[in-house]
Formats: sequence, C-alpha cells, structure tokens
Amino acid sequence: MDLNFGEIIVNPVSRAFFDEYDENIQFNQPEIVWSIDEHQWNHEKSIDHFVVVEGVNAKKLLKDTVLNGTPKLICKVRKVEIYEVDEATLLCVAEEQDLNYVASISDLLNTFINKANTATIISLQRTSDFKADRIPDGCIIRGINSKLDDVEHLKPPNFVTGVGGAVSSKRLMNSQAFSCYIIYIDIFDKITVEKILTHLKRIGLKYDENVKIQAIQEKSNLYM
Amino acid sequence: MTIKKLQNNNLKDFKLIIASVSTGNVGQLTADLLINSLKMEKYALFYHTAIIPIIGPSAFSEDEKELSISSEFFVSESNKILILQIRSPITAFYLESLCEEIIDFVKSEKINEIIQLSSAFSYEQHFIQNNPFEFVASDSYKIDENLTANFNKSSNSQIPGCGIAMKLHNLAIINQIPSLIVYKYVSEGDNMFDSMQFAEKFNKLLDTPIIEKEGRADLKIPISWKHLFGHDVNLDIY
Repeated sequence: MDLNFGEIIVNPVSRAFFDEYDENIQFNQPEIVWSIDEHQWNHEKSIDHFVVVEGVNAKKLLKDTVLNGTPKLICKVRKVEIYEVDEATLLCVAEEQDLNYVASISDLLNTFINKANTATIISLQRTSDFKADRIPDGCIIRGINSKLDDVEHLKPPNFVTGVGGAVSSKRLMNSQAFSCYIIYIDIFDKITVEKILTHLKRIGLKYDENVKIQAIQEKSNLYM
Repeated sequence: MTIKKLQNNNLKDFKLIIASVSTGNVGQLTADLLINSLKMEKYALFYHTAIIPIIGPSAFSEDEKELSISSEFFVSESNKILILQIRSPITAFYLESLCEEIIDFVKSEKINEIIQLSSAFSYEQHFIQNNPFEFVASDSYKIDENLTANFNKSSNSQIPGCGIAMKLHNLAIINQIPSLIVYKYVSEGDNMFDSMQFAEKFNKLLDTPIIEKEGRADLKIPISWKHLFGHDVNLDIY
C-alpha cells in the first residue's frame, strides 16, 4: 500500500481487491500514439539495444542528459514514452504508476521487446523497498542477469515490477537476452544522480558529459 | 496467454492446484510451503496480461541463474499434482479471460480436477467457534473422508475475500470439470502462521504427503519468506 505522508487511511484495503469491483469495471484500454511511421518500426527497422528506465523521476533524470538534443519520440502509451537515442538504441522512459496497466502497455510494445537483440532494464525504487539483513548507505544497485561484475545479484524477497518487470518476463519467456538493474534511492541528490548516470553510461547509453548535473527537487509533504 | 514449458510431463489425470490471490495471500503462502516441502519441480512459466508482471530471483533456491516470474507451474509426479503459483494481484478487467484460459489449459492437458487454495475475511465467519477451514465442492467432485475430517462443508454461496476462486469454480462447473475450493477465514496481516496451518491440513489430502516430524508435517519455509515484512530494525537507534 502506497501512502504519502499525512495521508489518511480511510478504510483497510485488502489484497483481494477485485472483490470490490462490480461486473462493469471501468478500465480504459491503453492506446499507443505513434509520432512517426508505425510501419517502419513494425517491419523495417532493426533494434540492437532496448533500454527501459523506469521510476518516478525517470524523465526528469534523463531530460538534460540522454534525452537532450537529438533523440526523437517514436511513440507514447499513457506515461510510457519510447525514444530513438541512436541508430542502434531505443530508450523507453516509463513513469506509469498504476500497475493494472503495465501488462497491457507492455503488450503494445511487443514489437520493440521482441525485435531487440538485447534489453536492459533500469528500475528506480525507494530504499525503503529494499529488503536485506543489512542496508548499505546511499544508492544501492542490484542486478538480475547482470553483465557488470561489480553489481551484486538481487536476492529474494526483492523483485521488479512495472513495465520493466513485464519486459524482463517477456524476454525470459522468449529465451531472449536481458539484464535488469534495480537502483534503490532515498533522495535524488547530486551524488545519487551522478551515480545513476554513470550506471547508464556503463550499460551503453551515451550523453554529453559536459552537462552540469543537478539534483532533482522532489515534492515534499512536510509542513514547512 | 503464454506458457513456456520447461518439462514434458504427461498431465493426464493430474489435479491442478491454484493459489488464489485472496485475503492475506494465504493461498499463495500455502502453495509456497507445498512446493518447497514436496521439492516440486518447475514445470512451466506462465504469462497472462491479467497478472501484474514481476520478476525476481528464485523464490526457492539461491541459484543466481534461476529466476521467478509472476506465475509459474510446479509439478509433483508422486502426488500427481500441478500447482499454479500466482505471485501478484490480478487486473480485474482481464479476470474473465484468465479464468477461461486456465479452463482451456485444463482441458487440453486432460487434467482431472481443479483445487483452489483460498481464504476469506475472518469477520464473515459469524460462528467464531466453528472450524475456520471450510470447503466448497462442485457436484461432480468426489468428496472423501479426509476432506470432511479437515474442512467443514461451507453453507455459503459466496466466499467474501476469496479472489478469483468462486469465478473460476463456477466456470469449471459449466465446463463439467470437478472443482473444489478449500479456504480459511483469516485477517490481513502476517499470515505465515495461517498458511502453515493450512498446509498442514492440506497435506492430509495428498497421496504422498510431506513427511511428518514429531507428529507434524515437516514444512520447509522458502528463502523468499525472509524479510517478507521488511528488514529488522537497526538496534543502533535505541
């Protein structure tokens, strides 16, 4: 259950939530909005690397770096956008928070998911969601199928969900290569942002390194 | 729906046991205990748009190459059972399609019957001194003494908080597939103890049950239960 500071719990919510739905459930089927020729992507273009960056501040984080300048928007589904970063790489920026939609969104992205030679998923999560015997200070990076030797393997009961979880599951089902990295963050200060960007560079995302890295200001719920 | 088979077992006359996502996740926790204690093997990966996708390390082994996704099948040849473990909530909009596709799978594999492990809101049990374990069976389901000795026959037509169980049960009846729902009245919270009691009861219905130790089933808790409710409090704060 995701609550903001100061939010009032009106009534207890059960995980058996669908009991509360009536027969005519309101569910707006997500639709894909293409910014360029759909046919080109479905039939002609090949994709070498499909990268998913998912999390609350994913777009803010990439705005001045990877998404600065040349990348062009290919399509959009709800809060998920796909950009062509270079000839070989597609970047999916996912900020969808309603998990009920992520499976149907990822179904619409099947063209990209299935076509790519390799996929890398970066999931930005809160440190409070990380479960371990000992919680290290600062930004924690864990991996599934990691290709980076210094990244520790994610241990149960930690997991990845969202569009990143869907892309990874589909690639696993199709026996296709993928790596998934989970970055647990407390605050998006300059050091953390720098660490995330370094990680993006290591997985193959290029950007102008002369850009001044800035902390991301988050909305505060404190009464100040 | 996609099923990626990892083994080629003949499932004819098997029982399909489904962990219904319900109050306190008792069905799923019980399925975890059965899979781990019976050393069941992974039979297939299952992906459906209705089930919220997740991926993580294996729930049962420390092998880094093994991964778990939102739903998977596990098989036990000695018990002739196949467990469908569902690890995440279900999107209500696709519920109908999920139930239909499970029924199609049961028919195509010639599986004999469906048993669902579920739970119900404890406040719906009006006679609190009654056995909290109950069952609902279809007319075609063969009720034996073992079942009635451990679970009370429910007199309710609905099981509040049981998740997809009743919907799938009704669809199984329409398709003339014997169907059983076994469930426990529970409250939301730390439901590990409920699921251990449930697994203990359900073990008595198995052909080759989990070996007993000191009069109780020797249940093996999976590694994925570690820190299920967060990590320990840092003692330095006191």
